[in-house]
Amino acid sequence: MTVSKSPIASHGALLDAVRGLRWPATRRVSGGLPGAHRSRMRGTSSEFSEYRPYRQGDDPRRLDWKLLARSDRAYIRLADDHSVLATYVLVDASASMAFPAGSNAKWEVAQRIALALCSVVHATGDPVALLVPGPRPVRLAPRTRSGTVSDIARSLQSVTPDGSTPLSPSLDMVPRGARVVIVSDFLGDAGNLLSRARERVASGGEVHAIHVVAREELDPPRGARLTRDPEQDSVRRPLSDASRAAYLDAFGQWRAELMADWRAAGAGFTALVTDEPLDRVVRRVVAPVDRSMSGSPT
Amino acid sequence: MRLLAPIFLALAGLAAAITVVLHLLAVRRPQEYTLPTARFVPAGAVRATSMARTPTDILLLLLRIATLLLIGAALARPILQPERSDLGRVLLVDRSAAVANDNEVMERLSALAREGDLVLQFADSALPVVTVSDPAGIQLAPVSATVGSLTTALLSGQRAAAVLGDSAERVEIVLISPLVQEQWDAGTQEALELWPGAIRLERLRAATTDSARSVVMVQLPDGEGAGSDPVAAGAALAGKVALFPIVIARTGENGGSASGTSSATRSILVRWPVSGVPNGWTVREVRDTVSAVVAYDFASGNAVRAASTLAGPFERSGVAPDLDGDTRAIAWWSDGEVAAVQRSVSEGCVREVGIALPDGDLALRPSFARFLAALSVPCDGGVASLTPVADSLLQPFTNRGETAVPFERSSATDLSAAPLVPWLLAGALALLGAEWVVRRRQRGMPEAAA
Repeated sequence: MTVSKSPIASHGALLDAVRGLRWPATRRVSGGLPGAHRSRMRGTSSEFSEYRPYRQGDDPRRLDWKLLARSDRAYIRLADDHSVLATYVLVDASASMAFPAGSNAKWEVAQRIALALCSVVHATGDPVALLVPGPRPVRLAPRTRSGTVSDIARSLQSVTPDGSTPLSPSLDMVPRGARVVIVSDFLGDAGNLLSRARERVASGGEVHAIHVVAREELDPPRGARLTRDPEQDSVRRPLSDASRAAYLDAFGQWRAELMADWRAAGAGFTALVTDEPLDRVVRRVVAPVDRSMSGSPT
Repeated sequence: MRLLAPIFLALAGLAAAITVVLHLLAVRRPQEYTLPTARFVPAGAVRATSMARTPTDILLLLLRIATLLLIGAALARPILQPERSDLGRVLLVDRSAAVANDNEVMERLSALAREGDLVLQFADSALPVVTVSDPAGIQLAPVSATVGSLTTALLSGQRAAAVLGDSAERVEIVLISPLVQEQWDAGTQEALELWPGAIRLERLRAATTDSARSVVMVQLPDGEGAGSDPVAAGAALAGKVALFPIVIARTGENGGSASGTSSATRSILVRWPVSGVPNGWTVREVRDTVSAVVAYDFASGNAVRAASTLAGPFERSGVAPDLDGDTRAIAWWSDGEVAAVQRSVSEGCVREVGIALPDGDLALRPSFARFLAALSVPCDGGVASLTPVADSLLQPFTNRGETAVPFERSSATDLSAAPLVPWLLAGALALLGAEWVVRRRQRGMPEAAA
């Protein structure tokens, strides 16, 4: 008799570390189903929020009759509604994520951080969905039922990063009010992705970008190498000790600009290096703190 | 083997070393490395110069090195030369009249000569240079009747030493000679100074009138006793008067049986009849008397040094033959008429004396001995007496340190003995062709993954 190992067994330590975290929405959500996030809807829930003068067209059932009787003024009672916030986790599985060769540390970190965030979202009671574009795309619809995290883990494990499928089309598949988490190295269609994210944020959406950087990208091996872009075979550049500094400068400048652009667009941006403790990264992502403090290019 | 221009071989070695370095610094595509952020690497040539631990293209490298070395070796002009011996000798052997004893010459020569040495004989004319192959069997020219210039011999010896320097590390000049002043001229000292080392001198006994060869033999007519002939008596009394034996034929009017001088013995034949006149002379119809007769003693054949005069009551009975190219006067009566002549014959000369000695002690006087010495001058001129050079004059040249002078090989060696150059160039050309073929093949092959 064989015992099938749970797909989240290998992530147990990380999931334990993020257990109990809550990830509140940064804005009022427009969802209908009751949930943990403050809704834009002012409804009839028992949680009183404020009074507002009655205006023509208001439901007279919401009038505070007692107040009207005491003060002869017509006010209606407003109450905060809470609703769920669907979270779509968009994971980049392009060939650039399969780095470094052998360990695929970027992909491993990407799927672990995605799984951890899914776990946090799922624990909040929000539906969580997974989108992995690629030659064999993975799409898991938002769900809240138990076993969702395991399904997500299983789906991520089935993916082999390859190709150069753009992420921005997948972003269009996400409903407007949903929260989107993009886990990527942003070496693909970063421009289009930022543009779509800006539109989404402008329309009231919530977007979080998690930039995965491999340690080997920050500190490539020394000596003369002919570097090759796994997604663009035509890009072959000689990297030597002489050109190393220029490379690091250019890469650092790009990461800084990337972070500035995403934050300027109103999205959350968290940079992580593959050798960082992931639970801390998760806390940085979900913490409702000043985002200017969360993550900076290494 | 010797290189005439070794700098070219050194340059070829340097070029080969540079070639090895260039093969280590081969421009090639470095190891490929997949880097997602490759776009941030500055654009540059895909091929990069890198230093490898082992040279690339070993075959090409070997071909190029071999080509360079062959070209360098060819330009260095290698020549094949035999091994040089440690010491070579130039033996200057005096064959002039100054040598008293020929056996002494041979003894010294045999003791010194070794295989490969050069023997230069000098007298008054050029003598062949002998390369010693068998020290015991050296054939020398006959001793000359004259003495020549030592300067010429020394200069020839130094020239021969330079030649011998190609086959010997050090060269020594050995002068086997009595060294007489008659050989020493104005240039001798300068010629000695030209030699950078000391001249090794094997000094022989000089030939003087006291030597054993200077014997006067008088052939008397049959029945005539030596004691009754004034010439014989005078000769006996005079002793050794000349460098060469003198044979005085007193046998009859026709002057004896000897036909002339011998080139081997260099003896002098003098026809001096006891009475009458020598053959070929005209008998004077009326005999007259003359008070003196003069013979000139020619020294070194160059200058008249002294005259030998016999004074006495001579009775002149003959007239000398007419002088021409073959006949010349060697003694004159006091009135200038010829008293003795010398006739040239095939290998020398015969001297005829038409002087009838008067009775008395004329032959016993010293002047008679000088007269005999004058008659003993060699036919072709020469010396009648020699004076050895003083040792003090020679010391500056014999005490100048080492006699063996180190010699470099002459660069003017016969280049025809170096057939390697065309072969080396041909080999280099062949290797160049092979290099071209290999390079062409490698270029046609697909580039290996770096």
